[in-house]
Amino acid sequence: MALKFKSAKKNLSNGSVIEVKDLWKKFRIYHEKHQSLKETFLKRKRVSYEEFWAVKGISFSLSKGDTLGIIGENGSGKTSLLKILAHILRPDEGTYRTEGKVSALLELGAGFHPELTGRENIYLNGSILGMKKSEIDAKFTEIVAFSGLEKFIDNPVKSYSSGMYLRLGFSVAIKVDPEILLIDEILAVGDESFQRKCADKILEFKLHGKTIVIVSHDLNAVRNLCDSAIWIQDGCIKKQGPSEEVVNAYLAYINQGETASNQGSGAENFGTRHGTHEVEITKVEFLNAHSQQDDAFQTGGKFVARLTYEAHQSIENPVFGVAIFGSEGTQITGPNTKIDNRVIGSVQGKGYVDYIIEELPLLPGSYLFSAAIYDESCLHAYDHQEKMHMFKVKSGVGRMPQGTIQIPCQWKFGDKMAESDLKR
Amino acid sequence: MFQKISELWEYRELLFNLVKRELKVKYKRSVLGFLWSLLNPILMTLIFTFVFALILRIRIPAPSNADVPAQFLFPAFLLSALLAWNFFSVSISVAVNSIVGSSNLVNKIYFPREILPISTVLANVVNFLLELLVLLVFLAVLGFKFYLYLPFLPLILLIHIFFTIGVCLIVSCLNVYFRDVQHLLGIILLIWFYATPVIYPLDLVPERWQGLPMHSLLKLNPIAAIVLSYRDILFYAKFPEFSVMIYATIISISTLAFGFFLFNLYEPNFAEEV
Repeated sequence: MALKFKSAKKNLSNGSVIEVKDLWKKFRIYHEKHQSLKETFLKRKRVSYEEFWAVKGISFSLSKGDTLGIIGENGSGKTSLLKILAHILRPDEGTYRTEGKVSALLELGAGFHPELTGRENIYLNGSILGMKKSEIDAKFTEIVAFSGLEKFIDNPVKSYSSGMYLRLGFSVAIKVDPEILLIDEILAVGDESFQRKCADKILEFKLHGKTIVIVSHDLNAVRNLCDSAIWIQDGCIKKQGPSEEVVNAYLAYINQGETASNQGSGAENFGTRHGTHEVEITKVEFLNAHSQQDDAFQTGGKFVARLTYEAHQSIENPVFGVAIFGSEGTQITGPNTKIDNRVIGSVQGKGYVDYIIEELPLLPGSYLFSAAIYDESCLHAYDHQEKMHMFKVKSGVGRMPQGTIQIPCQWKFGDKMAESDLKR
Repeated sequence: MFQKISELWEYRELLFNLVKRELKVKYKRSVLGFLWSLLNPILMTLIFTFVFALILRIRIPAPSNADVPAQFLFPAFLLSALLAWNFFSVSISVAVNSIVGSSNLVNKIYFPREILPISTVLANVVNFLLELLVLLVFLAVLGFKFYLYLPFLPLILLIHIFFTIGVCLIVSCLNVYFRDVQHLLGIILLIWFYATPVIYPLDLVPERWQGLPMHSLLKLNPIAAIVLSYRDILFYAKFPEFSVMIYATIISISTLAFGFFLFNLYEPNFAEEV
């Protein structure tokens, strides 16, 4: 009896600030635009449409201070889910509950009016995001300083460059002080330093114990910022758990899809690719000691990455480079043929370059791999495939130290220590 | 309903800022600024006076308690109702697009959507008040003695605003689903304008026409009741008919309530429909 009461009470207040139960959301896809009175009333015929379920029975709950990443392919229902949490869309079935003030950053500079000055837009945008005037007053100097637009703050924003516009929008957005923060892909805009500022700010929110939900394609950001993650596939939760695990499972899934489809072109699904493509990397294969294709290697074993290229014209002195990243996104190494003083001359047509590590020092885990071909100056990218490939190092026999890399080392004991004692 | 109102109250700063935005954008970068909004009624008055007073020779009897030069009677008569009508019609024709035109906001941010049409109406209220102020000065200079009845103006204004917001909520909501509402509205407002005794005095309308009680029919038009109340106070310097006021109040409040009801019913789907 007492036990029952206890569990009921626990259910009522289990500390969750977001609780989503069996959420369903459908959209109608109209075959022809209706939205005209004539068609509705004169034709007397229901317009034909298809129902599309974007969210299919998603449940999860978050406790205060949790950071959740939502990942998945485009159109999988991530943003719909976020918009439901932000009260923008109403679910067709299921319930959700949020506790405390919710701020959704789905767009920077929402409601900015081009004719108004930066100053006026700060107040407008701030109030759209739910800030009080007194709050904005108090934070105004900080907002302007953060945006770095002191000189232009009294100019109409239509005279701003798109970068300035985003910076101003971002500076306002990060000043919201909600208990629950919902973020959609904002991390993806802006230059490197802007993105870093963004990530720093989210970490700061995290430290202050805010609950954060991030929808992102940036898997490394999800890995680094989020405690847990949800991978959504076709509106359903495919995997849910610690972010590291979910991201790895998602990556593995994508890699699989890649190998199944054709190897070169299907690879753009994750990571990024840029370059002018006069010469292309058509395939990246990982080979083991027996020159067989493999994607799982052993610490201390041979590792070969074969970069197959195709040059559509004669290319003088190309530079081939690779990089290996740990699961946290930290770069482990990034050599290229120029640094290692290997001059190639010119390439034309098909061919390959092998990157060989005789004794792989990497410890078990998943690793991302970049491959690139640059011109001689290393400034112009012909083809740069950033983190588009993945390989694993599997646990072998014997005990392995923890970490990412095995560094050859020795132990030496002081004179007073008796070796035999330690052996025991 | 109560919950909705308290939510709107919570978002009052946003409402205020949107009103400010609308006004600022309207008058920014135009040298004449507010004077532009006076130009429209002045021009309308000139045209209507030319057509109706000069060509068609509509004679407006001077109010008993004022000694006004005859050539100013028609303009004063017209303006005392025209400004009120303009506020109503301009508000609606702008508000009809307030949801559809803010799809970027509706799609990305949560706030009570009512704020969008309401802010349009309130921005126009500010305009209307300024115009009204100019009109009051104009009428006072001409010798109209409305001072005693002025305290009733806020009450009529309130009824007027309620009715306008109610209609704006309805049309802005319908326009999300049927985009032809905005086109249809132009025609409806034109008919509505002539169905309201703004440019003609009610006395010129025959009491019965083809068996229809025209006066009673015209008085059913809620905006006519409101517009005539303005005219009663400003031009005739008398109390509006009590029954008319009661009627206007009831209609306004029910329109407002219905507007909120309809809006609330469809609001949750706005984000996917705009």
